[in-house]
Amino acid sequence: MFKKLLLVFVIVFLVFSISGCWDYRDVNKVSFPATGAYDLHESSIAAARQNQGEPLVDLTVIIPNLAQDVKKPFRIERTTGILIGNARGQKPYSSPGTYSAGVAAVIILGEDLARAGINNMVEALFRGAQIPKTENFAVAEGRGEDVLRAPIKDYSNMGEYLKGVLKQSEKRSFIPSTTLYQFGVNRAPGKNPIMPLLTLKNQKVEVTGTAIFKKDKMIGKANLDESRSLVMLRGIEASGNIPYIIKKDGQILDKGSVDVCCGGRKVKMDCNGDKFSYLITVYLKGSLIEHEFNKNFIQNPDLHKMIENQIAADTKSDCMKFIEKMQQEYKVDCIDINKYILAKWRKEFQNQVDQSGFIENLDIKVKVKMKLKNVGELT
Amino acid sequence: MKDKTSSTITSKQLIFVIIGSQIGAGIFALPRMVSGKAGEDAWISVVLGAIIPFLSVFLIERLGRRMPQMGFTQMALGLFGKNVGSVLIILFIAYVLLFESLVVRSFAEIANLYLLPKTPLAVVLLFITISIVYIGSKGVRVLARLNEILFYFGVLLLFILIIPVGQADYTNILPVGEAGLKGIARGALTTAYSFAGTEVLLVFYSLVNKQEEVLKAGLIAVCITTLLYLAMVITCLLVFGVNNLQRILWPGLMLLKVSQVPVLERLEFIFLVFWMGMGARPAVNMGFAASLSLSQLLKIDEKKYNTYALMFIALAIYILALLPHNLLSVFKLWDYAGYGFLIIGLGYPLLYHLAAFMRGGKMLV
Amino acid sequence: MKIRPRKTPPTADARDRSIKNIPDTKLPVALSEKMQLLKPYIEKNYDIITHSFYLEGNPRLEAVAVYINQVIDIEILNLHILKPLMLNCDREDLLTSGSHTLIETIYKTSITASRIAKIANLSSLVQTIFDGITILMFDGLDDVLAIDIHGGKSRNIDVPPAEQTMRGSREGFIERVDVNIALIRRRLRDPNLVVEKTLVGRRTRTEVAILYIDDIADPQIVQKVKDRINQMDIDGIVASGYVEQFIEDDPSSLFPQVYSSERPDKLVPYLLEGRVVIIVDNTPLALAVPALFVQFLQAPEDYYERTLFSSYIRLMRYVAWIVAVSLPASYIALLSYQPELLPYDLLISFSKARVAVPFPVVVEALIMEIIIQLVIEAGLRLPQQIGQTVGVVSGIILGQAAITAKLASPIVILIISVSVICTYALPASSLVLSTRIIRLPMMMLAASFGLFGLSFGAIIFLTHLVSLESMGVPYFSPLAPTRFSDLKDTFIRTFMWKMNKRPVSIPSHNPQRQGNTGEEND
Repeated sequence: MFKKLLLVFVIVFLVFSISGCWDYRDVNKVSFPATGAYDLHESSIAAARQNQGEPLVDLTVIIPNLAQDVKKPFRIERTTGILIGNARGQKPYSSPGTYSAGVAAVIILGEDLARAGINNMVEALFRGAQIPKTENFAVAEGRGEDVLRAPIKDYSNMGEYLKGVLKQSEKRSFIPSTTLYQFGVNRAPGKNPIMPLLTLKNQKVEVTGTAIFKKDKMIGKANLDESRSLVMLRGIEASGNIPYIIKKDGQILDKGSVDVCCGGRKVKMDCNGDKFSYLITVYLKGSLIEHEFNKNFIQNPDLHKMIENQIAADTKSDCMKFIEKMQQEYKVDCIDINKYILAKWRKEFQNQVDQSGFIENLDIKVKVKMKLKNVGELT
Repeated sequence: MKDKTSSTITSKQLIFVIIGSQIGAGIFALPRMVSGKAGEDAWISVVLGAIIPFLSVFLIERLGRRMPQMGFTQMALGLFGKNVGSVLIILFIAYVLLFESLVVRSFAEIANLYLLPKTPLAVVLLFITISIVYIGSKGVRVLARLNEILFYFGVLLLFILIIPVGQADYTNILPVGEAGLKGIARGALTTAYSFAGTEVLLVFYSLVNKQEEVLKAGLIAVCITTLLYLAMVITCLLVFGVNNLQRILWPGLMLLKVSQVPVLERLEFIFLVFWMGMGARPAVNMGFAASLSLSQLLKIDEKKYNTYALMFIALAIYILALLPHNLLSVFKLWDYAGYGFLIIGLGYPLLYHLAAFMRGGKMLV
Repeated sequence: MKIRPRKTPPTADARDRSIKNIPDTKLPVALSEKMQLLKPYIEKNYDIITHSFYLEGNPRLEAVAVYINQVIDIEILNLHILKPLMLNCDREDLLTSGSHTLIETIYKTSITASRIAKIANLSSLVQTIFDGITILMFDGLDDVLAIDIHGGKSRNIDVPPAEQTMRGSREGFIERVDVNIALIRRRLRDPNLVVEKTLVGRRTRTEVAILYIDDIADPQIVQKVKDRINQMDIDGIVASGYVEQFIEDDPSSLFPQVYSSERPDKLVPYLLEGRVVIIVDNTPLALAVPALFVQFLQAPEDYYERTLFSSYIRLMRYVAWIVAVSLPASYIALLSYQPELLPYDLLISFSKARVAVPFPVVVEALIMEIIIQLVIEAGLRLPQQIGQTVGVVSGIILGQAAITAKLASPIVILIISVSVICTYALPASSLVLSTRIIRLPMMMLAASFGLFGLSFGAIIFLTHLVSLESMGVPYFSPLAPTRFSDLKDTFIRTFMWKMNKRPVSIPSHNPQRQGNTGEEND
């Protein structure tokens, strides 16, 4: 009996399999976006700036063309809706095939949208079971759509270019890459996300710094130098090139540049009454890339130490400057240190740490330890 | 050897059967549920929660030792008489039906959510039910062997949990002890519910060939399950933090989506493909136990008709699993299944001990 | 598990009666009467030769030799039987002393042939003739001599064509059971090696030899094998495959449960592990039971080559099996259900390749799969030269044409070819066949439910594998039930000197295989 049942089943299922079941979709009938941009719709920008009205959002995506005899390698599609999911739902009216959300490696946020808050926008990404949480985020100065529409010659589409620039960017530069997951986790109490900032300059898309967020709202920008301090203070393991100039009595002793790799940070917290003080130790190590030709490390044994000290001092003053800016301008804990308070007194401070005035009153000190690992092939 | 249902399994295989009955889809939701109650101290709750299954194993083993020759149904009928004993067995079967329908439904929901979003739930459930019947119809020895090999698969699979550890933040499980005794206790109770499946030992005790090793096997099984739960809960806490965990339906699966692995773009899909056997496993084990009890209760030939009893059980599970309106009502029902576990896993052995004590070794039937 | 219902064994009596109802009459003394009795049974047969001759003397004694042409060694008959009888026999002596000295006389004085027996009744006489044994009948003696001088043309011992190795012996089995047994005996000079013989088949009366090592093999298994062979009630077997199908545990399974090989050096280690070997006359393939699944992924070179290399190759075979079973199915599942699983660039290039193909992925894959299966089948039966041409034509021209005709995308051709290559990387031909079939249901499941269907199929097949038994031994051991001590010779092949124990997956009553030399030395 069991065997007969099985046989009936097999037959039913043979019919099914040839006709294709509910979830069947042929791969060449699906559009796979290479990248997408989220923007406020033009009509609602002004209102959104004054926190009024319900904004509409634009979803712009780049989809590679599959057919071989089509000249353009990709097409740009734009739809509008009340939220991103809704905008995605408008696709079938203007675009053939099924739309597969979640293969895009990079999502660009327009600045206006980022400043208005993106919690509602990324909800669809978090909720979608088909979407991985590893998509990279970046904020574009101006509209994200413009970044996507920027002319591109050397790559098959903008998605490929952005992916190359943004994926794991901290391995090559002091720009932190931010994935959807990291953004989500950093919205928790005591934490704040940051994102790379893209600018369209002379029809070319470049990374120009970091967008600072307070929870889901963008509140400020940091330029490339500040981003470097930000990354080091956050303890992100990034690496990049740092120049140095050693001066003594107004005279340049040596100059050059070092490939520095940030090896994390150590945070020491102290509490005097209700005043918290921090000591952040940043560990750097690096290898010398270049320096002025006339100096020899064997004949000048101090030089090694001098370079280390110079970079440590430079970095420290940069960091202090950034902390000052953070406390006075951003007024948000973008260097991710309040979590250490929460690790000790979570219940007491859970609601306080993110309120205004908390970060401004912290006493933050920075110590930088630099180690020059090697000086290259020359002495 | 050809004798299907009355053949025996080794005590080593019993370990895998117990683990297989305990770990189901619940492991993916466990971090959310426990941390909702115990906050950062969820991991303490997991450790404490293991006390109840330990107790359950201990009580059932003592019971089996008291009456080593008797199976679950014989014991019930012998201790309580025909009427009360039958009611107890039917209650047990009813509990299995409720509990396993929830297990199967949760697993089908996961498959539905991630792999087959448009396929009707009934079809996904049908395939899971078919695999239950097919595996169960092969008899207890095959069941034990399958549990064994799936366990090794499962352990290998859970090694994937190491991948997202790079994203961990240790401050997420600090400070220790903030939830307080009450919170930790409530979390421990939630964990205890997810050990449901331990009571499979009630039926499987009489099928083990070396009964003196049952206690050891049971304790090892609970230990391994506890360790796996602990690993899952700690990893989820470290990676997401308590606040985020509350928003995630299946944190255990979300865990696979947070870090990029080259080539294997979607770790969770691959994971689910291999999890298929694991997802239906508790229902297979418990369903088999229930069908065995049913055919013993009805006094029909176990060898011949156990498959039909199993079909009946599987059909009931299938229909029951289709009933809940959505996943949220399933989660609500989980709590009742948890009480059920306490009654069956602790209450039954206690009751039996009591009755055995009163009877003083004399049996009614 | 379903076990084929087995009948009670037919009695030897019933089997003998089956041919014709030959009366059990005692043979008469006079030669002419004997010939008269025998005539109806042999007169229709052109190949049965009756050769009359006289034994030297006065008066001359008439005798007749009856034999089948080309089945016996005619040279031995002439040189060592007829010639001595005709020239050297002391006829008087024979007649006076009667038949009991006849054998002795012939045995000691005249004949160098090996096996001789006396026959006294008609039915066994007829049977003996058709068994290919030479009969000598004498006038005046009631007993008849049966001399086994089997011979005639048969194939030489040759390289086994389907199982060649680089380093192993070049000898393969041939069609003669006695030669095959000798091939094993030559490699295994253990006095405990038992060779038992039975006749199977009512009409063909094929010799089936059962070999096992008495103090290693589990007596239960030996008994089970003997019982199952004795229970075979069939009118004829012409190949060992007949026996295989009668003794296997689950005939409706896709997986082979009896190991077959044409290499004696493959079977000797199996005998040493406690298995039972069955050799069937007229088949160059011998069988070994109980068989385990992992055994079909192991080749004799694994033991001839050095450990690291053979472990690597063995691991590759497991990979090959998994790929062969699941690659086309995964392709279908990925491309029509879960394309997001592929890396983005690959995804786009797959989509681009498929854009011109009008069929669904499953139809495309099925078309290619069926074509390739037919190509294999076509190449199998053809002479080697033409077979190669078919291969080349299908490989290059058909594939290219299918792509140009937009019947298939290049990727599906790649996928199917890889799976076919992986199939043929498997060392056992019986597993190759089952792998070719398993691929199809997996493809269907993947086409219906994507990865979910694939994993459903995997769990069903896993359950089936785990539930199989070969001669009552769990087929999927040492994986499930897991036997850790056997795992060192499963996925990898550990050092020879470390394999001190026989595998526990095969029951045996002598677990120690070799001394502990390796461990003492380090």
